[in-house]
Amino acid sequence: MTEVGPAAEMPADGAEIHVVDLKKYFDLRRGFLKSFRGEPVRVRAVDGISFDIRQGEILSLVGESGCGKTTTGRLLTRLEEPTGGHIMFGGVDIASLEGHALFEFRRNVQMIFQDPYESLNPRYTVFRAVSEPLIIHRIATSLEERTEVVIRALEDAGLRPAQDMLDRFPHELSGGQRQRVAIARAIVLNPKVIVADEPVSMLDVSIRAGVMNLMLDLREKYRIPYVFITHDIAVARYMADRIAVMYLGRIVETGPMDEVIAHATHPYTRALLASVPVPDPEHTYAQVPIFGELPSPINVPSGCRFRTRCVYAQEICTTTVPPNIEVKPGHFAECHFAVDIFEGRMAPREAVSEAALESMSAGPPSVEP
Amino acid sequence: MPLLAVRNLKTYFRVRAGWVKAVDGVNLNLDEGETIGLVGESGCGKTTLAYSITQLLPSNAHVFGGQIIFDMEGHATPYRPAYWNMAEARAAPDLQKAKAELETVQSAPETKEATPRLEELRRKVDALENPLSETYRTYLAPEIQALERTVRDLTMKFETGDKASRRALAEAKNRLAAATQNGDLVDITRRPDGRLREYHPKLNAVRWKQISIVFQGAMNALNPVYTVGRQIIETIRTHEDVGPEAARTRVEELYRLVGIPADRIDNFPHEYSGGMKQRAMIAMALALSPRLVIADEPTTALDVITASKIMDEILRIQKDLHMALIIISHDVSVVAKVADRIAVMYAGKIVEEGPSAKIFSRTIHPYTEGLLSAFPSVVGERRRLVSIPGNPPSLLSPPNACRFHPRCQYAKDICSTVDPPEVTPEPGHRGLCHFVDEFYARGGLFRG
Repeated sequence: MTEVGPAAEMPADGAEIHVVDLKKYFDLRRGFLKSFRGEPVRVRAVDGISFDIRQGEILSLVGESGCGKTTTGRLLTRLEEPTGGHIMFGGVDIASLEGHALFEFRRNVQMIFQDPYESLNPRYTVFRAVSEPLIIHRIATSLEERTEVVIRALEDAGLRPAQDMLDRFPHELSGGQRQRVAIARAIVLNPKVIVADEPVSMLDVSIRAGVMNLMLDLREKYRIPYVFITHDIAVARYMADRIAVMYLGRIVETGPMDEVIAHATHPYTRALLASVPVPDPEHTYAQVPIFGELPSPINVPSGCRFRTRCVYAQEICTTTVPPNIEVKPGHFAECHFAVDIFEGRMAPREAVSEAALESMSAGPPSVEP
Repeated sequence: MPLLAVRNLKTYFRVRAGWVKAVDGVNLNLDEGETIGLVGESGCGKTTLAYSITQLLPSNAHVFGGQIIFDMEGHATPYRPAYWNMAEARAAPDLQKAKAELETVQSAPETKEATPRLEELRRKVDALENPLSETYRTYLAPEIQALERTVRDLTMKFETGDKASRRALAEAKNRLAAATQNGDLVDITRRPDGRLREYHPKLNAVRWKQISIVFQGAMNALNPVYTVGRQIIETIRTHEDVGPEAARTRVEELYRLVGIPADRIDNFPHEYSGGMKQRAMIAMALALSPRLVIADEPTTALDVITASKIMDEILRIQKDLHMALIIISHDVSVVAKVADRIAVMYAGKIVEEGPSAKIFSRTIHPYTEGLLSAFPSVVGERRRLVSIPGNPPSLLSPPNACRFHPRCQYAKDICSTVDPPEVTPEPGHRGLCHFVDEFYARGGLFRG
């Protein structure tokens, strides 16, 4: 990928993490004989993305399953080694970190996982789960100090009275409480960045709003930037200041949240927004402007990877990789016609007719990683 | 007149710790061609209600009361309410007596002899409050006998050439059907202990042919070792006497209807994408042109774009084929998009039900308000979401009286002591709360 948006070339002021042309390919295992000939089959989960995470902001990575958003989160926390590109944190590429520096990095970047039923050890009490990071990092060495720090973290996470929580096991907690414990464990080390991978998608509706509000309040209090990974654009809108929409391993559109919602430019973002159900029975829905199904990430289309489903696609989209165009300060879209679409001068290639949809859906099924 | 009437249904699960009251006195009516959305959080009993209707309950489920009347012929319907009222009026004194006795036994000091009597009385009160079809029949015995006699006489007359008695005969037959609670699925398959039989020829005539279901999680609902086409063909041939060729032609038609290319019939489930599996499940549900389809979280596991397309497809087919549809979802916005009416479930009960627009514009139950206030949206202002304090209750020991009172911001003393009444402030819009009228007069609770 040669096209790198201006945002990636110059680290913006106060960028906490600066990602440049990040790539992660997974080799697929094939048959014994096949493995001797030809290229290995690769899934290009993340294929050259660049973005910044700025101080105190919440950046949301949004996309459908298989678009590479979780892989991006795992790369940011160095749970995966990148195939290419750089993740700059505090002026160094995190891929080069070793020994004590890596240890420090792990303290500074914390992750909250999707499923609080699996991310907490069932045999650890709440106190042990939250105090373990402190022991590992030799913070608050006496038991009294540790208890105090843990209680503060639990109270920050909305678990009050925290004293009563300390000796409980995960099975004694509800889903929402477990996720709050996971949040407490993430904030107890005062990290510089938190990566949250679908932190609310396993929670019940009535609980979910509370956990989202908690994360927003913590951001207000400690100015910790979050990377908020979600498939739900409505949740992303509620949480984030900026959004990055991912499609098949690329960030196709990025910008301030309200701007992107109001003036979605990339055809994929537009389709995504049109398909979100709205909690209002009076809302009128437009036809979702998209064809077919997600192509396999093994055989990514040439040129623009969205072209097979795009209602605006033309000749050039098959041959040339689209540039990342800044349609408004800070609002980028990776599309040849970004400006035309942004200014409303572009008509869809053809009406999204049922016949067209049917002929397109004959393509290969998507592969779920 | 409703196609499906669920009346006072009680489905409990036997577990080691006691009874899980998953569905506890649910009423629901559904007309032909209508779409109703059933919303609620996980564990509120939505799926149990669906499985009770289709009678696909696990073996530890017991139906303790109520009826599920699926009107196959439709003739008995107009006479049903009259017989229900008649039976309930007759049962009222017995109920009162049983209740009074229960109270005296309860307040008396505990003795060994009193315990079984107490149990018996409790069961009696319960049976009278949530009558099964057999309870109705005991109170309607004289009418049933008389109607049977009339039908017999009229049949004889008709057969001996009196063509004029035809109309009277048809009416008498319909009255008899209504009085004997004909069409109650629970009545057909219920065993004495409350469990439901897995198979009954009468039930088989209804299941899948008249009522079908799109299961939650299509990825797990298809058998991985058979091709998808074979599974749908098997469904068709189990219920209808058609040859393999004809069944295959039907599958091709169904595939066209749900938007899968016909050359994918002989693929295995793993060769389908998630969306295609869901479409195949819908095709299977439609295979026998049922009059009622229950879709249990049909799009929950799918990506938004696929989900919205499939939901549109379901609605289009539903309109074309004029089916009744129950959409079950935890997502208020999905239900708001598709349903004519919405029923909100909480802890085994329907707490509010009404036309979709009314549920939003004039919310009369605090739980509905909480649910609506907790949902983010991509349109409109970005407002602060409000979560409902606390957690959904365990259905093993739900809170006394109103089940929502521990989490309710409007709760007063009465809410923890007296069962909330079902109030209908406007036609077709009901709420299960002591303060429905007050909330309605205020113009509804939810301010979106």
